[in-house]
Amino acid sequence: MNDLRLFESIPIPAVEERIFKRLGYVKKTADTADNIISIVKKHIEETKLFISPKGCVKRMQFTVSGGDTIIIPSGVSIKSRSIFNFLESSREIIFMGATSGAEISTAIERDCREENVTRAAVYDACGSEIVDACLDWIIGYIGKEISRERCFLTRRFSAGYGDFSLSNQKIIYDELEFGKLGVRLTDSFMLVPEKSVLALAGIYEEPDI
Amino acid sequence: MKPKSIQNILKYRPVVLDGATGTELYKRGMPCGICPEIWALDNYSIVSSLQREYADLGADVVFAPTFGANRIKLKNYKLDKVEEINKNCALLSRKAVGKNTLVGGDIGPTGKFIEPFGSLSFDEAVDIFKEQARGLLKGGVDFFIIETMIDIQEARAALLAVKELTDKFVMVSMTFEADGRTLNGNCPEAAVVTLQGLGANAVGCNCSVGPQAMVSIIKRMKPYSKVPLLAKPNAGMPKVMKSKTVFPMGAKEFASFAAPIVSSGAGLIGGCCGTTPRHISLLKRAVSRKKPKKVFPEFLSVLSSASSFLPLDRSAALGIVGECINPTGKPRLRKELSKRNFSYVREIAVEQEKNNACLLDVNVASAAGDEESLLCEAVKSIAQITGLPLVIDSSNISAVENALRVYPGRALINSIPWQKGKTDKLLKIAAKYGAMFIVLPIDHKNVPLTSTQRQEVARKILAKAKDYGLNKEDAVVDALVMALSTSHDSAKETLSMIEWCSRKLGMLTIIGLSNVSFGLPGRQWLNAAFMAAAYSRGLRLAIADPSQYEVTAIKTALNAAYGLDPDAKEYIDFFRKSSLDKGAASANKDAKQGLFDAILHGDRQRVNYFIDKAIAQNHSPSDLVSNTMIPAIKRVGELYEQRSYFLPQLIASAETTKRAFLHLKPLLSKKERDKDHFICLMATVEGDVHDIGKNIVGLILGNHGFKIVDMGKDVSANKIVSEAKRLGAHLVGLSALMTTTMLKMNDVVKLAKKEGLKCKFIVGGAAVSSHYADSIGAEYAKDAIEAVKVAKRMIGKKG
Repeated sequence: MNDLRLFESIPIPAVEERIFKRLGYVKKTADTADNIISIVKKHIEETKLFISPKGCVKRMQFTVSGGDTIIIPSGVSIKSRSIFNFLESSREIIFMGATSGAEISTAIERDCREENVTRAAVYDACGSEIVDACLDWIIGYIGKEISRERCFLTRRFSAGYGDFSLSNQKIIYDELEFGKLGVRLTDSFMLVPEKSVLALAGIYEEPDI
Repeated sequence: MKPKSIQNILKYRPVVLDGATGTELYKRGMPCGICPEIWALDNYSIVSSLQREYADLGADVVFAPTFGANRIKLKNYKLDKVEEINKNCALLSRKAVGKNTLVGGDIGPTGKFIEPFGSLSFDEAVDIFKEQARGLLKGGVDFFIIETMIDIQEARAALLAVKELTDKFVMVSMTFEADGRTLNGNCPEAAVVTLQGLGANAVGCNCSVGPQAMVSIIKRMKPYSKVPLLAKPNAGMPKVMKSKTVFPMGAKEFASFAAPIVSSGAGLIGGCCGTTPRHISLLKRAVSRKKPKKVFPEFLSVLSSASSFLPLDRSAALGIVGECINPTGKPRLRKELSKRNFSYVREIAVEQEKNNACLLDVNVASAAGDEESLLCEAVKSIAQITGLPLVIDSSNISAVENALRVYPGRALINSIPWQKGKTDKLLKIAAKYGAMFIVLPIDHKNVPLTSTQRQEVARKILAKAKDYGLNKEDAVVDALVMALSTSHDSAKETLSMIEWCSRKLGMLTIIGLSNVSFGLPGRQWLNAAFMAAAYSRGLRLAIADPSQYEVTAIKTALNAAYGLDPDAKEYIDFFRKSSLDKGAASANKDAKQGLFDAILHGDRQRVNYFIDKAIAQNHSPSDLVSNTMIPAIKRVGELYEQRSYFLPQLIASAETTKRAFLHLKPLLSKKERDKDHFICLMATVEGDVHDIGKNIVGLILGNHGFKIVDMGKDVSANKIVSEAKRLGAHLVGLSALMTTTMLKMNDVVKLAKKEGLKCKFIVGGAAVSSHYADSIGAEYAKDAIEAVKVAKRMIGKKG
């Protein structure tokens, strides 16, 4: 089954704690006046109005070749020993992508220009954590679907690590038709708006134990 | 003998539902990648054997194998005979278990999200589910089960689809994660309130979690449920065994949770993924002698949104219904709404929520355009952004109906008057969509002036409501507030009406608060005083502007005074000393200490005040820089390195310092201004657009005497080198986030060498490492504070 699903509005997950952690907040050692916490929380709340988390996922069968290549139904091949090993026990592969939208990046740039870098840094952390949480959401969504098939998901893997080079972003981007969600891929395989991410995971069957 | 029915069984014992179908069929040979429904029809004997096993081992019901048999899912397999497939699967189950076991038409999710959370229109979704339901009816199902729903809106669409076709028993089951919410953020309480209101005969939960977690989900639903509850847990939470994930809970352990689930309030119990006929057999044994708990809701008047719920209780705290989404007298809002632009509406919604409104009134009547679709669009847009339940405010019957149809919760209709042609229609709509409603005691557009007259009209509306199955718990009475400026007795009549509703009828009341002060000065004081008086008579909801300080302050104080604010927490939070107070206190501080603290605490607003004060006290500008500001900046850096400060504090201090330097600059001598002014050129390399990190580093370096020239992002090596040459830069800071773009850093360093530049290079970014920096002849800094140390070391700067 090859189906591409678009999620035009992923519910904004509760990631306040993760945002604080990303900003370097360590509860045990923190010396924070109430007002900075409430300022940061206020900025996090503000992002509700202009972050529009979207995502997409595609489930596909795949074949393997040569001990380091996987081939998806469109005929495109991904050459990477780490991915080949990663998907060793999987029967299907999923490609997934998420974006926080362009407005958050615009807001960050504006704040840097207008010298409100504090707010820009909070918005930046929000954009990053929300897009990451969107991928977690997609994983949860597909996980639920496949659990009825006695299947589970591997963890997710993004391009740019090990021998799974960043250029593979293009393969995932094209398969997901990610442009439909307003994201473009630059010549250096960077996603714009920047708070966007692509990843893959494997679907494997429950073993008989 | 009475025919077997869920209702009959529930009189004596819990209903035993079947166990997993999907995971069992895969175990029995169903391959992956095929349509499960067609496989079930082609392998009838395997499916029928499984269902007979469930029935023989104690299940009162089996679900027809039609979980994914909707138009959208079947299209993936290029199938389109939806009704026929559903009918045949239902007949298969009937043939398998005979007449003594009930067969449920199983409706699962489509995989698409419905507006306002997705692109599928609500009515299209209803059509899709109707198509499936028609087939199941033709197949002779005894009841319907809508299950594994992660989205309340999809559950609503499926439920409405079934209810618009048949009166058969319908159960709706949502799937909640370990955190107690669905993936889409719906909570159990809101789910039961919304779905039972819409006509579900049983509500509950299945899948995702094991039986232990389901006990607490059922416990959360119980106080709000007017219908039986169902629980169909997985065989435990997946565990990793031999590096693979499995469902480990055996039948005995699974069945040991049956009694706690029933005791927590479930009247229907079965198993989901990973469960087997043996699980059901032991489950049946565990519950056969248990009596299901009576359906006895503690809270009857409850509103809900997609993600939250609000019990309206006469003993509850006073709540403000936000009135600001109303274009009357608001040209900007009117203009935006007439253009179908809802971003301003959403801002107003969020602002009111921030000001502790408990509900939001939505009225678009005076905006240009077709109210019937505009109200619907506004409600959809607001429902996406806020968790507060909504009050649908319109006198247009179709507008109310359209909005209620798509609202993913239980709303409050504002309002239902006594008027021929209107009262019945609105009550019918309220009943169909499970909405609560405001009783407006106006008789055919005549406003009764006395409390006695209003009571008479209210009684008529409530009596008529009973014809539609609606009780007083489904209603709130508007006590009618008239302007005091038009009649000095009007407030007394309203207070009398509130008292009658509350004390004699035992009903909730609501008022449009600001009407009382219309045309009078000092409106906020009259509003607040009237609200306090009304509260003492039993008022519980006031439609008002939650940003109006006096109203909110009185409301908060009243709740504390009446003991409805535990530990007076809300009261204390509301009246906590403002930052202005803190500012006033610090104004008495020594100026230098004040300057030091302003930088330490990132107080941009007050830093220049302390500089001016210090100058007035004859402190020299250079002394302030050297002996107050720089030590303050250093202290901030230390606190950051110790992880006592986190990034926003570092940046706030840096921005405060920058402002301070700018303020002091004209007062410094040229020599002092140019002292230690090393030029640092900053850029994000070509092909990369990430620059927040670079901006922070630039800000901090600027505090430490570096003159920062920022070239921005996606800057070519040629441009960087050329500018560095022109400026005579001492240092060049390069940033890159990606493994592909960081390679451009090497291009910059090589070109600079080629051009004979003597400047030094400092690099940073997520993909960069000290190892990479070494390899290209640069230095690495992991963050802004390290960048200061490295930069100073590189140019031989002390301190």
